[in-house]
Amino acid sequence: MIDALLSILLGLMLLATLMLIRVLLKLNKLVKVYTSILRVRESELVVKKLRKRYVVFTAICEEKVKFEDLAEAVSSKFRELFSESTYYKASPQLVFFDENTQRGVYRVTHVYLDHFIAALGLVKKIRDKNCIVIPLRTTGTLKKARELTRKLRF
Amino acid sequence: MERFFADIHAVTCSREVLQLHYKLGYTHVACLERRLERGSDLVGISVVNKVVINASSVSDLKIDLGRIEYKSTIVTVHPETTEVARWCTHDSRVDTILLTPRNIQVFDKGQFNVMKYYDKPLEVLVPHLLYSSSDVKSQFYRKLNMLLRWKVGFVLGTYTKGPFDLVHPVVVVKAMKTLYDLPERATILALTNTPRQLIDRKRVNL
Repeated sequence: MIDALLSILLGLMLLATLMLIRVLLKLNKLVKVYTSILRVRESELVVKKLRKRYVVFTAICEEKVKFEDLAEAVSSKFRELFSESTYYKASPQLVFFDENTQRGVYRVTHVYLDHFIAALGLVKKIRDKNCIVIPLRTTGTLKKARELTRKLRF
Repeated sequence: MERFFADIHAVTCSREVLQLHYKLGYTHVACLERRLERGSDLVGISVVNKVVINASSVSDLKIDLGRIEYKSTIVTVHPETTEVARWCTHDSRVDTILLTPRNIQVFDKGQFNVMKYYDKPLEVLVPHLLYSSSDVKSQFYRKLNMLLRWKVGFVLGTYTKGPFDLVHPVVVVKAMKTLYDLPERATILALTNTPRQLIDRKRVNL
């Protein structure tokens, strides 16, 4: 009688152990899958290197505009369209602006180049003067950008 | 710069505006008020007349369409009711159907289905997309993405009244991509091939 009970107990223990091993194996698999998903997501999120892009543009206005006024108008338009957080990630800077020819160069992060071009082109007023700002070309170096401000015809 | 853009909806077409159009890369323009005289030497740009019909009933629309020289004019209907929208979709005299914040409720799944069946493009004006309030923009966002899912053609007009109203076509493409999540390819088609084909059909060189 006792032998039979012991054998049943052993059988039950064996079954429980097997079940536990199975659950552990499944958990291990799940952990592996989740880790791989997280790795992929992290690799997508991390940008390897933030590169700079230089946008050559020209401003056509009723009257000639100044460096500071243009920079202010573009930055406020960018903030209005794409929020403050995108603005500091894009970090657009007016590198150079010739007030005689009304041409200049903007530096911006390559990830937000499209956002910047959209904001730049949608500037309609600078200090209450009607304006249109036209992006002419995008380059990877400031030297080339400066050359293009002289060479490009519009 | 390569010139291949077309503007399906310009309000004023003075010499100054057309010159700026040309500089920005437009070759075809459809104009509501044409101020240039015939024979003016504007090389490289084709201008055609355009008419917008505001219709609230089918009978009014029929009367208006009867008066128009549709063979040399781009005919756009701005439907104010669903009935007019459905009716003008299958009329071959109508070239495009205009979507504005005023009639955005008219355009539903059924309307897009009919437009796809009759291959009638939807016309949207750039200022409505770029300078409207957030509520209007969100309505446009939903409608435009639905339109793309239905694979209905659409065209973009600049609604230019003066030289400072024009927007560079590349800026429009980038703005549509970043603000409305539209693929660049779809926007480029809306600014090039689709409107150009419509204008070429009615082309009368100045």
